[in-house]
Parts: sequence; structure tokens; C-alpha cells
Amino acid sequence: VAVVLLGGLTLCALTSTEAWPLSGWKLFSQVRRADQGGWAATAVVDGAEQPLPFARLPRAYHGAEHLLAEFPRMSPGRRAEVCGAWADAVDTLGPRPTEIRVYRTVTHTTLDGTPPTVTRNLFTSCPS
Amino acid sequence: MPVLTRIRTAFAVLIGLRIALGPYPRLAGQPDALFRPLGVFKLLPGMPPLAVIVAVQVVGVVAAVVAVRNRRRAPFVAAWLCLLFLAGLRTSLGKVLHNDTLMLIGTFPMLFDDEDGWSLDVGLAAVCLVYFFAGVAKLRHSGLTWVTGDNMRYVMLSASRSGKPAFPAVARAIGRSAGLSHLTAAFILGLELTFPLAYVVRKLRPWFAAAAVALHVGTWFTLGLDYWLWAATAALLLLAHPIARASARPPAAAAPVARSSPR
Repeated sequence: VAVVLLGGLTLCALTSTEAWPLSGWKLFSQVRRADQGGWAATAVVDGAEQPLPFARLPRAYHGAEHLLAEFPRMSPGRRAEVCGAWADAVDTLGPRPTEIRVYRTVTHTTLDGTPPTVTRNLFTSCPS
Repeated sequence: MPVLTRIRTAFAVLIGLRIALGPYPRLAGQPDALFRPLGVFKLLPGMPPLAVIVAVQVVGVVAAVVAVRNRRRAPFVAAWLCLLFLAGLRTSLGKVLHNDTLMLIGTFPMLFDDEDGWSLDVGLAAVCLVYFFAGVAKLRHSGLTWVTGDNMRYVMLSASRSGKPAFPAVARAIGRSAGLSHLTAAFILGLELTFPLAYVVRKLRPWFAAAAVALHVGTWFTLGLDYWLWAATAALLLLAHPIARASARPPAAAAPVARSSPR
């Protein structure tokens, strides 16, 4: 038991493998800088674009930022499935969106206390 | 009563509370397209329905209660497996969640130990390794810049605006001070990298337990992240023997002192 547990822990840590509950333990290990890359998704409803309201959706829809980060590696079919699931969820809150847009973002934070600024570039969009 | 039985009972209480109070029923209804399992959970086709999740919760809580009452290993194993399943579902939303992992790992050896107590040593070794590897990962991915750069200032300032911490002023105060930020980062990295000393030098264990609790309480204050199971697991395994001695002290020993005290 000891060899399996401690060996598995060491192996996953050294190879940065996520074999949950074993892990690479990369807890906050990347340095945060003034410019932090990220992702955002919006829904186009009645011609108006608005952020996807993940906070208002059930917990089963949380964690979207990690799914968004996988978009570059997803097939078009898989992207459409994910966008469709989000559009269905937004549909339960109000009018159905006609399009889901996915953006790459860069959040610029200053140390002087001024509010951060976010710039974004459209990565892809999927009709729903 | 053996030290192992007392500590295993304490963990059964924690596991029961986690299973009962966790947000697991709210995971149900997740569309299959959003299911992002890790490890063996990839065998599941999607998020299980609500009835299955609640059934596992009920079985887990009952098993934890039985483990506390009869102090046997079998119900503890059942409760542990239920938490593993539920926490695994929770980490299938996309983000790798570590909230439950330290307790699952630290108590894993107890699933195989009846009374000998070897599992406490192995569990503590595993916990020390987890902290150590978390420190190594910081050095590997960022180097000493993690401490000497503005990293912690940006972490704290972002957290203060995230809406997660109950007291964002604490994160803001640390983020605005270069000195406090460097000290905070140095404390975290120093604690993680030196944690194996707690396994080797028994006298240091209460200090490491206090530091681990401080780290996780601080994480909750500044980042709003719930790591109370890490604090409890580290403290219970580091202080297993003193805790067992204290809980074994017969209440009658204190009674004469109380009776003889002057009015």
C-alpha cells in the first residue's frame, strides 16, 4: 500500500500527470503577471451580445473557463456540441441565443489599484 | 482504544460531513457535452442522474455514522469510496479540484489497516509529499520569481476583485504591499518545501500543523477557496498521537480537581 501510494504520488508529481485524486499539484504554480490570458464566451440574443451567464446557471454548468481553454484542440463537431449545451441552458433563462461566440482575452492588471482592463479577440463562433 | 481507531473515527466524521454538506446533487443534469471526467471517471458516459448521486450520498452518510458508532474498518471503507465517487464527479466539471484530495490520499492507507497503526505513518508521509510536490511544482514552473516577483501581488489583487473572498480587504491589503506579498509567498513556498521535515522530526509536528492551518485559513480569507479539509487532514495526521492521548484521558481524572477548587 505504501509503495503504491507514495510511488503513485511521486510519479504523478514528477510527470505533471492528473490522475485524480493523484495530481501534478500545480496549485497556483504559474507566475501571475500584469497581463493574464484567458477565455470568455458570449451569447447573441435578439441581435445583442451579452456574456454567458454561467453564475446564474446550475452548478453543473460551472467550470466553463476550463472547457473554453480546450476549444483550440476541439473538433468542429465537439465545439458545436458544447455551444449547443450552453445555448440550451441560456434558453431556460430567457430567449434562445442565435449564436455563441468564444473569445481569447487578456486581462491587464496594474499594481496601483486602477480597475483591470480586458481586451478580447474572437476565436470562433457557433450558430445555435 | 488504539490511536488508529480514534483518528479513523475523526476522519469518518469529516467524511460524513463532507458527503452530507457537499454540493453534489446540484451536479446532476449536466449535459454530456460538458462532462469532463478525469482518471477512472472517464469510464462514465456522463454525469449520473440525481437519484444515483443522492443514493450514494445517503449510503456514504450512513456508512460514516456506522463507522463512528462501531469504529470498524468496513463502514469507513464504504464512506471513503462514496466520497471518492462524489468528489470525482465534482471534479468532472472541467477544473481539477483538489479540495478533497488530501483527505482521500491521507486516509487511503487506513482502508487496509485494522489496528496496527502503520497507516498513520504512511498517510502522514503522503501528506508531507503532497505539500512538498506543490512547492516543487512552483519552483519547476516559475522558479524563485514566484516569491521575488510581483506574482503574489497580482494573485491577491485579482482575488480581491473576484467576488470570492468574504473579506476582500485582506487580499487587497497584501496585494498593495510588496513586502507583505513577498512574505506571504515566501511563507507558502517555504512551508511546502520543508514539510517533509515534519515526518522526520516529531517535535516539529505541532508547528507544521499550526502553519498548515494558518495557510488554509489564510487561503480562505484572501482567495475565498475552501481548503478546510486540507487543514483538518494535516492537523489530524501530524497530531495523531497527542490527539488520541487527549481524547483517551478519562473524564474522572479532571473531576476531583473541579470538586476541590475553592468556592
